Amino acid sequence: MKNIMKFFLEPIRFLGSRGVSDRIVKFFDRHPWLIYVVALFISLGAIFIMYVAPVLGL
Amino acid sequence: MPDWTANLTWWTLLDFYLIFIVSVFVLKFILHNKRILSMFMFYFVILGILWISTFLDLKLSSYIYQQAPIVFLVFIFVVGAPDFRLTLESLWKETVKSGIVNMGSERTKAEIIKAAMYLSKQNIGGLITIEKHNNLDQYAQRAITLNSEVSHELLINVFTPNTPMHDGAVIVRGDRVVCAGAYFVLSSNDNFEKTTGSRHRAALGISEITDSLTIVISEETGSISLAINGVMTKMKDENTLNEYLSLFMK
Repeated sequence: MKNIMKFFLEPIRFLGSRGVSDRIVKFFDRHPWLIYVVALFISLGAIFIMYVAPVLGL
Repeated sequence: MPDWTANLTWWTLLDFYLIFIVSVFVLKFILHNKRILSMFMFYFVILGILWISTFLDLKLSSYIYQQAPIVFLVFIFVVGAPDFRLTLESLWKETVKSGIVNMGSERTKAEIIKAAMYLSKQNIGGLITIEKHNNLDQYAQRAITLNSEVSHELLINVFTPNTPMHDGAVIVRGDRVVCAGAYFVLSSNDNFEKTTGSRHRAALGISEITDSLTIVISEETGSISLAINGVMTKMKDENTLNEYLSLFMK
């Protein structure tokens, strides 16, 4: 109950105190090659938005 | 159905590649430092709120949050400036390497060991940084230039308490003492004890961002430690110190 109240009253602080950044850094430390996969998806997304989406009328 | 490949040419591949290398660099940059990642996560939360308020057409919220991303981005760069500098330096470290490097003679090594052992016995604090590939000029420029031959007498004299140069680090390049009284950025690594002194933190700090080796002599215990690649190792005796230095200076 206290956590739910906390989430509604201070959502940004609530998310910040979950140690999410800690977990993300540790995860990418264990799997460094995933950085390249994420970068690949970002690049593909950017190419899609710039080159493909206009043709498809999106 | 329109031909979705209409805009795609061979140049798109180059465009893709350029976006890819920047994405890798930015991701590595953000993920390299927990504090930077936290700040960017906060930024993405703000972007999320903006997106939701725009999507639901919440006039007041979207008006307020529209200004927030730019303001907050500037805020991140101002507040996080020291972290950005550290991260850039350590990312750059792996790429800035010159081929030929003079690591000093056997005599220099012996003089450094002699000085370290003396300082340790007398419980005098000391910080001796030996440069390798990464140039330490930016620290030397703000210190007191010596440019003299390495000798144990000089090193002992520099670290003698209550003298003007005893507080900072000595930087050794090849067979020369470049400067004394150099100050490094302290390590903020959370894995070390909170009680780790500023001299040890300075040694760790410089070892995290350069490939130098730093000898730290504790003022309290007289113990000798080596900091290299962000790792601090306590030396058991003179022989261990000699072995480590021989490996580093070969």
